[in-house]
Amino acid sequence: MEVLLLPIIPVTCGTLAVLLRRKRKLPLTLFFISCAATIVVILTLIGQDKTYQIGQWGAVGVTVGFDELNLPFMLSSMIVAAAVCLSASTRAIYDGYFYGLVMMLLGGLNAVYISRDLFNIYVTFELASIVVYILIAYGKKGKQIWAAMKYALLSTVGFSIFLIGAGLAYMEAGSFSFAALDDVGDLAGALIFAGLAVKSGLFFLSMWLPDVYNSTPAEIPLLSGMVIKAEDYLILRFISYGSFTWLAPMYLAIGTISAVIGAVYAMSTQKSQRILAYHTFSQIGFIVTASDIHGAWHAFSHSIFKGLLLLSCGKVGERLKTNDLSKWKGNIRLSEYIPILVGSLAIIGFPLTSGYVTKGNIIDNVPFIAVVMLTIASVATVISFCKLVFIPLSRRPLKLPLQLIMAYAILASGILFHGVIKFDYYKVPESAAVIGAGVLIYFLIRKHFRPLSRRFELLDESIIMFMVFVAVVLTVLIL
Amino acid sequence: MVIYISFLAAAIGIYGMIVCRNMIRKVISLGILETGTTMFFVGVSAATGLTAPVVPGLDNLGSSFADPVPQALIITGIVINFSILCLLLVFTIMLMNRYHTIDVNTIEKILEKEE
Repeated sequence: MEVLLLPIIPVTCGTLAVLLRRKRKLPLTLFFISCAATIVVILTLIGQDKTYQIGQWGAVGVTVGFDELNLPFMLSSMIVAAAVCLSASTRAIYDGYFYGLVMMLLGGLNAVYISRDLFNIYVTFELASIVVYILIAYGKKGKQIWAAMKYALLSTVGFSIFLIGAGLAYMEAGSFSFAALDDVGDLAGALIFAGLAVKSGLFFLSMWLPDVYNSTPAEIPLLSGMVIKAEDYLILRFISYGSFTWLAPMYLAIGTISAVIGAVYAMSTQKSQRILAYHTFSQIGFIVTASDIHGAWHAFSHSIFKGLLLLSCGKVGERLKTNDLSKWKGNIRLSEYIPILVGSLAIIGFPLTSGYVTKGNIIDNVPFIAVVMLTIASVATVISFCKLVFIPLSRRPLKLPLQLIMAYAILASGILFHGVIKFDYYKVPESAAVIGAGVLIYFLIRKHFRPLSRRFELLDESIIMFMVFVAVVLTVLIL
Repeated sequence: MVIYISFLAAAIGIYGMIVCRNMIRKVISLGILETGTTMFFVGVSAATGLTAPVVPGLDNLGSSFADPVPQALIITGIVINFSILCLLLVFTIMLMNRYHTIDVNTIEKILEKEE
């Protein structure tokens, strides 16, 4: 039953941190204690594939479990949360309450990962989501409150549809457990999938994402990224059940479309945080297209390199008070540029980084048409990140706080460690061709980038697009 | 019957969310959608029978009982939905204090100009 410790430890430490928030360093210490304890529990569980029933309730009882699909998601959320807390400790506005909320978020997400029944997923996910809404609006600025509101409205609509799907599954199978998903009809699967899609970080469905990335302090987008990964975990988990297998071509279609359109949007914009937000759409497209253990490990590497990029670009944006890359030219210091460079190399799939390993694995295991689309998306990724990689630097030195350097070091070591131990020579020519093509195209067309319409990001349009998606899923089901 | 009415309520809620520009009305529409979902679970419970699943002295053993599991679970759902609605209303108040409007389109225009 040690699985149950995974949510209990962070939530208990989080509650203590909120109660003792006035003590100066105690909440941060509690955070690292909870991280260390959780990592010990995870280490004892690695390699196991177990499910446990709590109590003697049979099919209607609560089931929890741990298997290889949980591992990348739990590790990535822990690493990202550690970086967030280290970076946050350099600011005065984050008190014990903030660290308490981060721990509760971590506990909520761990509860999602170990849950093996639909209703528990709903409860634990909403717990994690409410914490994230509060964290997004933590700075109490107008833009941040609006971003939190938009996110909350859209995801609550999604979860209502999820709940109807869960109810249908119960009606047909008499149980909320995942095992019952093999015995229920396709309609329940369709509604559960459509409900989850709103938070998954796919283009056209999660259009709240650019607002969250663009309006909040550097640390917060990393936390909302953790919630996106939990949603993707569920999408990957459900594909193995009977009522979801018919959705496999749809995963492929929306994954590849999101990968390409996200990268094209990122290519066209000049704002650093928007580039990163659109690239989240693109990379989540890679994960959903793969829909297997390779996708799960890409979610792990994406969490870490995107975390490094969001943190480093966010800090530069805060220092220069703008996210506009044209105003960064000549003002960015070497100490700020190094983490941006490491993150950018990982996202474009440069050898010896985690992005190279996981992207390569995905491309090896998907059908030919998806390979073509994902290669186009990879070239577009290289083009958009050339804007960051080839940015002119300032020669003046800048001393960063020790905690921030430690946060960068945690994330960068994750990228390089994963990249080096899983390095494989045979994909180097492929990666070199993609990077070479991207750099060449960047230098040919860099004067012609124009921002594309942001109409899709308005609240009403986002809800309409989500409803259209639900209608498309149901139509495919009927046909 | 209850199930069909619940779908209708959910549809009304979604329609309201798309059509209303006023933020309070949007939140109320979300409330209607959530109530529709709750009602659906009541319908799921009632599928096996209508007698309350409470048996003092085991008098009603002959009748068919409503399924207690969805009812017990949806109480948690009601609490979560209530807390989210409260949070959304708090956000609305905060936005009203900053921008002196609760019209969604106006707020989006102001924010675009700010950027």
